[in-house]
Amino acid sequence: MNKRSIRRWITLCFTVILILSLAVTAAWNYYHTYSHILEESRDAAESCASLVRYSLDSWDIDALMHASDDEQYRQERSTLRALSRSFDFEYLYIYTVDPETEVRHFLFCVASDDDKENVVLRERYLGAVADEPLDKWEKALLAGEREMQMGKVSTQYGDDITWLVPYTDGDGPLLAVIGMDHSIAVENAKILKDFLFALIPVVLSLTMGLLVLLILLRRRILRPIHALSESMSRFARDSSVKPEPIGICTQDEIGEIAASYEKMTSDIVAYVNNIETLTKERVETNVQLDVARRIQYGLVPEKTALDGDGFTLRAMTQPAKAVGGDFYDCFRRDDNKVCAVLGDVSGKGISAAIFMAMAKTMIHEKLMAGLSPSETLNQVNDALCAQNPEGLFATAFAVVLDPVSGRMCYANAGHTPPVLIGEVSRFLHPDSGIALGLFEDAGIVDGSLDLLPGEGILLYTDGVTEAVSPERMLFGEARLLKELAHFPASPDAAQESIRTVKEAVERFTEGGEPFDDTAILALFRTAGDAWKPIPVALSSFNEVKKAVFAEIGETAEARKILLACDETLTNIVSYSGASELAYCCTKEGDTLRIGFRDNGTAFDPTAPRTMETDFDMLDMGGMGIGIVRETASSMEYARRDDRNVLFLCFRL
Amino acid sequence: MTIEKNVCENAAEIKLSGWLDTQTAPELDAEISALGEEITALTLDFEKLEYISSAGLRLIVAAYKKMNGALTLRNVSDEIMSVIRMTGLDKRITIA
Repeated sequence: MNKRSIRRWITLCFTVILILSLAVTAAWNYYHTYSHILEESRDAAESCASLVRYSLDSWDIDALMHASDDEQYRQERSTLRALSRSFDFEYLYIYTVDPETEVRHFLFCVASDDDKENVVLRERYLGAVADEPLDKWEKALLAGEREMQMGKVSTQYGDDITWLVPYTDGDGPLLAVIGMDHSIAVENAKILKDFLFALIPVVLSLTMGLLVLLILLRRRILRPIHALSESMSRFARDSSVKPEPIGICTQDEIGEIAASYEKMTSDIVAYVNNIETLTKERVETNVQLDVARRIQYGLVPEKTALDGDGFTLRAMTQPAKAVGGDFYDCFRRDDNKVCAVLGDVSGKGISAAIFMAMAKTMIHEKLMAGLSPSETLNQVNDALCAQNPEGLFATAFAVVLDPVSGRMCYANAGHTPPVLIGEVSRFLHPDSGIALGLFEDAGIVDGSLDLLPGEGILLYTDGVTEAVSPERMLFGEARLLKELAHFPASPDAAQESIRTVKEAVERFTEGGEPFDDTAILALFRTAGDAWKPIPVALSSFNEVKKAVFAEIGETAEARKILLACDETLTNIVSYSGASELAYCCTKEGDTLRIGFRDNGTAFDPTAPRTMETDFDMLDMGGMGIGIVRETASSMEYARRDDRNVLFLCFRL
Repeated sequence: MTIEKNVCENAAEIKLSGWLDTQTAPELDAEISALGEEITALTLDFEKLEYISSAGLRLIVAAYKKMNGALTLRNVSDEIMSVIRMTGLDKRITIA
């Protein structure tokens, strides 16, 4: 939009107003002047006519009609001419009208102007006849009208306003007509002159007014608006910088707008800066949380499963919206013991995540190196105390389980008491040390107990016991113990115990705050397969034979079972390249379960294969697996820890 | 496992007792290999055999080839027979 559009519009308005005012003024003025001039003309005509009539009274018209060149006529004529001139008439004339023939006979006709005088002397001499038809005013006079008549006549003498006055002898008939002509051109010039004189001041004052108004408009409205608009467009380009003050401090509406605008801009600047600060902080916080979350997710997987001979371990974390410092760790040591750690770092965000990473890594290293749980936690505590500028701390519970003997060694650094799950579940209340990172010499000590097969330990963070119901109740330790009180021993006990706890807490918190920010770890000792190592040799078959006979006696059935074992063993010894071999043999109900475990090349005898060996090739081998498959009721194969684990089950 | 061998002109008879498994199979293998060229028929008596594994079955196949089919299994118990059937040997080898 054009910046000057307001000014242009206002100028246009004023021009229209000016033209309209002028038109109205002119019309009024013209009408007024015209009436005035006509009035003057009438007055002149009346005065003149009375003077002429006076002269006529003293003349003998009939005598004049016949005394054209006489001296008296010339004198009378010059008198009339003087009269005409003094009243500004163009022509002054007197004529008679014959009522019968309606023919005019001129007595006198004088013109003010010398040239025209010469013409009328030639044409309208005494007694000159004019036989043009009478016009309506003449007819009116002839009919008896005695008032002065006015007409506008166009003749060969020009356009005139003609005044006709009857000359009578008292109330007698019309003797003569006195005519007086005012030239319309002259009158119009007069009207125009008067009109213009009257108009000029109006035009001048209106124009001046308009100019003054425009100047005022420019100073008081247009210029401030322009300044405002410039400031606004600058502000629109960069709304973070407060614009220079515009300097409008008038008390009018423009001043109010300027004041409001300045208040608005300073508000917006403050608002924008505020938002920028908030956004920056928000982004920083989000980046922090994101980094922390990555650290935590990277170090602590959401789910972990670790199975081995004589134990099963499951762990999970429920990720929190705000990253917490829950962590767990589980691994098998070279001496076949299982290590499990679960802890909780105080605080949230990056520093907590890094602290957690440090604690977890150090605990892992020390346990891996063969240190006992208490040695591990004490040493980690000292290390954390030495480099803990943020004053963070971590609670942790560490367990080392020997799955063969069931011996479990543990130590606690200020963590929630774990649940021992067995025939009768109970809380394990070890000598609780101080949380890691608070004080040197935490004085954490080892505790130990023997886990029976089927028993387990459940570690958890306070996210479980401090879960809140919609009624603002805490889940609590009692409820936790109740959930785990009678837990049936099963190979899936670890998984089941975690699921039980998780579902119980989810039921408890349903409709309230979501259950998250927690970690749970369950380590169970399983009934286990008592693996017995045997030499990688065909002679090992004798040992298996003894074991099978010991379980079910020297029966034909036993020999059939041993056939499958023989074939399996032969395959392992002859083809797997194994250097370690172990077997187990257990009777569960009416099923005999025999396992072979070797560290040879991966080989799955249960994998489907086509083995239509030709008879002529049978002496080259290949019958073994077929015999095993025919003999065993079922087979289970798994590749675990770089070992082939094969179980043959025989229904007795 | 004990092996009892009787040779009568061109025919030989081997009586097995006990377990013919992977460990003992080489003993039987040695006996069969020791049979001279003149032996053209072999009879294996399984009357007292308690157990046979695929190693033993392989020897049976090898002997069958060596005798050009003139191999007879005698006194095969049901238990041993079930193993022989498992591998389909009964379809070729004469079982008396």
